[in-house]
Amino acid sequence: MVNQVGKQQTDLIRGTLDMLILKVLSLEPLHGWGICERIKLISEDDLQVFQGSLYPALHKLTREGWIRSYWGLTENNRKAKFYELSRAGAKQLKVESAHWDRLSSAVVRVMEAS
Amino acid sequence: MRWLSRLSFRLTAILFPGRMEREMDSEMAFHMEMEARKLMAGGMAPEEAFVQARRSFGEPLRCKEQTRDSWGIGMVRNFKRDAQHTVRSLRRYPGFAATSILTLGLGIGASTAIFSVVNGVLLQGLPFPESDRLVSLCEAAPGQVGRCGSASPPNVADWSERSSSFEQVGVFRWWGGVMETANGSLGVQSLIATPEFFQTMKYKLAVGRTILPEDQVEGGRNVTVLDYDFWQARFGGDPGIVGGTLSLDGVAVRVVGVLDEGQKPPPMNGESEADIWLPLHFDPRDEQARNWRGFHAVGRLAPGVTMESARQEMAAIGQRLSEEHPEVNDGWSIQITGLQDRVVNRVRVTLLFFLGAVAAVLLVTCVNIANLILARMANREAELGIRAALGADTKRLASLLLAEGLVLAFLGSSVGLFLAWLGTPVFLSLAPTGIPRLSEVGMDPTVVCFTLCLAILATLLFGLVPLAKGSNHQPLQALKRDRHERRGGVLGRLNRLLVVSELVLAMVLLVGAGLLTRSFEAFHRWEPGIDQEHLLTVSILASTGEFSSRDAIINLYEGLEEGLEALPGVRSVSRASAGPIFGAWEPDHIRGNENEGEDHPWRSARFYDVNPGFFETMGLSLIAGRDFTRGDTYGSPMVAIVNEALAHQLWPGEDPLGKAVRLEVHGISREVVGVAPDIPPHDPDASVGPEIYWPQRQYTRAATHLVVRTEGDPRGIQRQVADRLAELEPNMQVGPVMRYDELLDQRLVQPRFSMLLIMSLAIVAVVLAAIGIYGVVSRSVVSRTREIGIRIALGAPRGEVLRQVVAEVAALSGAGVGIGLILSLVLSQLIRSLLHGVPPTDPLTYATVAAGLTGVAVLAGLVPAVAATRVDPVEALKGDSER
Repeated sequence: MVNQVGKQQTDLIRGTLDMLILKVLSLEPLHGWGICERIKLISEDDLQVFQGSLYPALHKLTREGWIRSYWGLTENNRKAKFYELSRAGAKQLKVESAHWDRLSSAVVRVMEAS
Repeated sequence: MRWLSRLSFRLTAILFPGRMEREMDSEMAFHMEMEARKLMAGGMAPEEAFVQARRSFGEPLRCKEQTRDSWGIGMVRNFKRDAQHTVRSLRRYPGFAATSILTLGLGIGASTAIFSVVNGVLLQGLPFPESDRLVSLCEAAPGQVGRCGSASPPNVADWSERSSSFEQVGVFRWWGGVMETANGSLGVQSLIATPEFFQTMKYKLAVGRTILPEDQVEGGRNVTVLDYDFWQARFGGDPGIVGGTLSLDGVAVRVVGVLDEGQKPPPMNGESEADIWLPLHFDPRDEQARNWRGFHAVGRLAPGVTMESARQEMAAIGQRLSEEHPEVNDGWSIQITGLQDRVVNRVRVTLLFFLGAVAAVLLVTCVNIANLILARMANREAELGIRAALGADTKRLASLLLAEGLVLAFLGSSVGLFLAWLGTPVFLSLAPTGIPRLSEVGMDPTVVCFTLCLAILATLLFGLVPLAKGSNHQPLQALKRDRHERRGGVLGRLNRLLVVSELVLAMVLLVGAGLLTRSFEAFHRWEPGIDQEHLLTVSILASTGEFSSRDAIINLYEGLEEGLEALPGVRSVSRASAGPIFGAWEPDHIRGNENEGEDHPWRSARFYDVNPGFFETMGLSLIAGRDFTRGDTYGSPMVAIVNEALAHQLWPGEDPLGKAVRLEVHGISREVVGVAPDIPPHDPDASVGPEIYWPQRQYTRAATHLVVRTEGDPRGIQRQVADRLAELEPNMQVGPVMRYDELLDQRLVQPRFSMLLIMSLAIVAVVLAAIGIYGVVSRSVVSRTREIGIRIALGAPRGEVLRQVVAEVAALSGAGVGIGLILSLVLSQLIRSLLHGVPPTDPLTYATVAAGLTGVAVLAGLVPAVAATRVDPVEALKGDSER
C-alpha cells in the first residue's frame, strides 16, 4: 500500500510534508523532483509525495524563509531550481520534529491503551 | 530577519509576476521531464512515459493555482484584478464614470481649496517664533464696551517696568514719510517702534542691527532699519546701504540694519507691510504724551505665565497708574488679548461660515454619489448573481466592491486635488486684502492629509453603500430578468431619503447665499444725502520739514485749493480730516459746559476738522446756524458745528446754537455756531453717531483730505486732479484720487467676496441636487419601462403616468424644502454678524429660494418622466432596455 503524502485525506500526513522536506534538505540541497525521489527512497516507497502538494509547500517554505532557492545545474547539465535549508529552517526542523515526536507518541499511547 | 525575507518574497511576487510564472513553469516542466526519464529508464516507451509523467502530476493548472496561492499575495492579486475589471466596466458606462468622478472631484476640489484658506489663516499660527506667547495689550476707556485697540507709550513703559508677567513689551505704530531719492520723492510706509518691540517680536536680521535704546533721541529720526522687500526693491539688496544715509522728510537718517525676509509687523488692522522702521521716542513724564493713545502694544508672556495671571497682575498695575495719573488715566483699564485671536477674529465668522458651506456641499456630493451607485447597482444584480453562483462568497464580493470604490475614489480625488490646485489661486485673487497672510496660503501637508481623508471617506462610501444594499441579494432571482416590484411609488425608499436630504442641504446653502446677497445689496442703497456722483477725495500728508508751522500748512492747503479750483470741470474744492466713508474716524469724549458734574457723563463723539465751505462742497446744507468763516481762526473764539444727533444727545429739545462744549482730550471749550445734518452710516444696521466739526484754522494738522466737487462726471478729471497736485506740491505724500463709487467698492470687497463664494457653493449644490434628482428619477423610470409600457398598452393615458411621477417628485421637494426651511431659520442665526440691513429671517429671501428650488426639483424630475411616457409600449414589452 503506497501512501500518497498529500493525496491522503488525513490532515496528519499533510501537515508533515513541510517537516519531511526540511529534513530531506538538511541532508543535502536538492531540486523538487529530487526531493520527491529522496523521500520515496528513504521511506522505502511507503511515502510518495504528490507533486500538486510539493510545489505549493516548497514555495511556502521559501516565503517563510526556511529554505532558499537557487538555479543550478544537474549532473546532466540541465538547469534546475535547487533548494537548500537555511539556518532558520534548521531551527524550524528541530521544532517541528519535536512536535511530531510528542504527537506521534501520544497517538501510540492512545492506540495501545487497553 | 525572517520578516524581511517574507516581505521581499511577496514584493517579488507582486512586482515581477511574469518572472515567477516562468520559473514555476520551467520548474514543473523539469519535474515532468525527470519523471518521464525515470520511466523510460525503466523500459517504458517515450510517449507513454511522458503521458504517465504528466498524469502523475495531477492537474497542472490546479497545481499552479495552488502554488500561486502559496505565494501569500492573494489579496493583492485579487485587488489588481478587481481594479482592472472596474476600469473596463467604467469604460463601458462612461456616463456613470464621468458623473461620479466629476461630482467627487468638484466636491473634493472645492472643499480642499477653501480648507487651504481656513487652514492657512485660522489654524496656523502667526509667522513669529512662539507666536502663541504673543499678546496685544491695550487700554479701554472708562465705560468703553468691547475691544480696545491702542495704548500710550508712557503707560506701556510703566507696565513693562512694574510687571513680571512679560518677557518684554514693545510699542509701535504706523506712520508715513517721504523719502528723497535721485528720481524724486517717494512716499514710504514707516513704522515707529521701541527697541523692546523688536525684542518682543524676536525679529531676525539680514544685515546690521535693530533699533537700540541709544537710538531713541528726541525727534527720533536719526537711524532706521529697512524692510527686506523694500531693501530689495529700492536698493537692489545691496548690503552696502547699511552705514549710509537716507533722506527722510528732509532729514538725513542713517541706515543701521535690514530685517530678514518675511519679518513683517503684526497685522493689527489688516495692514502688514512696512518699508522702514524708525525709533520711537517719548518722554515718560509728559502727561500729554501719556494721553495720546495712538499706539499698538505687543508683549511676550514670560515662560510659565498664563494669560489669566497676566490679566490679574495688569489689573492691579492699571489701578495704581490710575491713581498716580488721575487726569489722564482715571477709569482706564488694561485689556490683554492673544495676538493670534486679535488678528484673525475679524474674519473668523466668515471663514467658519465657509467651512460650514463647504461641508454642506460635500454632503450633497456624497448623497449624489450614493444615488449614482445605487442606481448602478440595479443593473449589476445579474453580474453579482453570476459571481455568487460561481463561488464568490460575501467576503470576495465585498472586496470586489471595495476595490471598485477605491478606484473611483482615487480617480475622483485626483481630479479634486487638481481642481483645488487650479482653484486656490483664483480664490486668492478674489479675496479682500483684509484677510491676514492670505499670500502664504497654499497646498501644504495638512491640506493634502485632509484631501486624503476625504478620499478615504469616499472610498468607504463608494464601496460600502452597494454592499449594504446588495448583501442580501438572491442570486437566482437576480438572474431572472424580472425586477421585483418596488412598493411605494416610482422611487425606492432609500432613493427618496437621499433626494430629500440633498434638497435640504441645497436649501440651506441657497438661503445663506440669498441672505448675503440681500445684505450686499443693502449697502448699495446708501443714501447719505451728499452729492456722491460728483465728488473726488484724496488724502494728503505734508510731512516734510517745510510744513512745520501752522501758517505754512494753511498756506499750503489754500494754495492747493486754488490750484485745483482753477481746473476746468471743478466746481469747488474743500478739505476735511475725514468724512462719509473716507478718512479714519477719530473719537473723543464730549460734554456740554453747563452740564458739568457727576451725573452728566462724558459722551463719545467723533471729531473732524474742516475748512469753510466743506458742507457745501459735499452737497449738504446746514440745518441751523452758520458755516465756519476765515474769521474763525487761531486767536478768535473757538467754535464748532455739531450734527443733529449730538445736539439731541446733549441738549434734547433745546436750541444748540450758542451752547458751549468741552472735550476731554482736546481740552478746549468751543461754542456751537451751526448744526449739520445727520449723515447715515454706510452700515445699514448702525445708527448715526454724534459728530462735531471744528475749523482747520483752529486745529491745524499736516494731514487732511481734499474734497473736489466736479461739474460733470468725475471720471473725466480724476487724472488731471492727480497730476495737478503733483505739480503744485511735489514734496507731499498724496494718496490716490478716489471717486465715491471706488470708495464704496473698497468697502464692499469683503462682503462681495463672501457673497460670491457662497453663491458659487450654492449653485454647485443646486446643480448637484438637480443632477441627483434627474438621475434617480431617470433610473427608476427606466427600470420600470416594462411596467409603464404594459400600462400604456392597456390603455392608461400617458398623462396619468407623468402625473404620478411629478406628484411624487413634488411631494419630495415639498418635504426637502420644508425641512430645509426650518433648518435654515435655525442656522441663519449663526451668520447674523455677517448680515447688514437684513434680518436672518428675511421672508423675501426664504420665499424666493423655496419657490426656486421646488421649481428646479420638479423640472429635474419632469424631464426623464416625460421621456418615459414617450416609450413605445411594444419596445418596452420586448425586453428591458440595457442602459
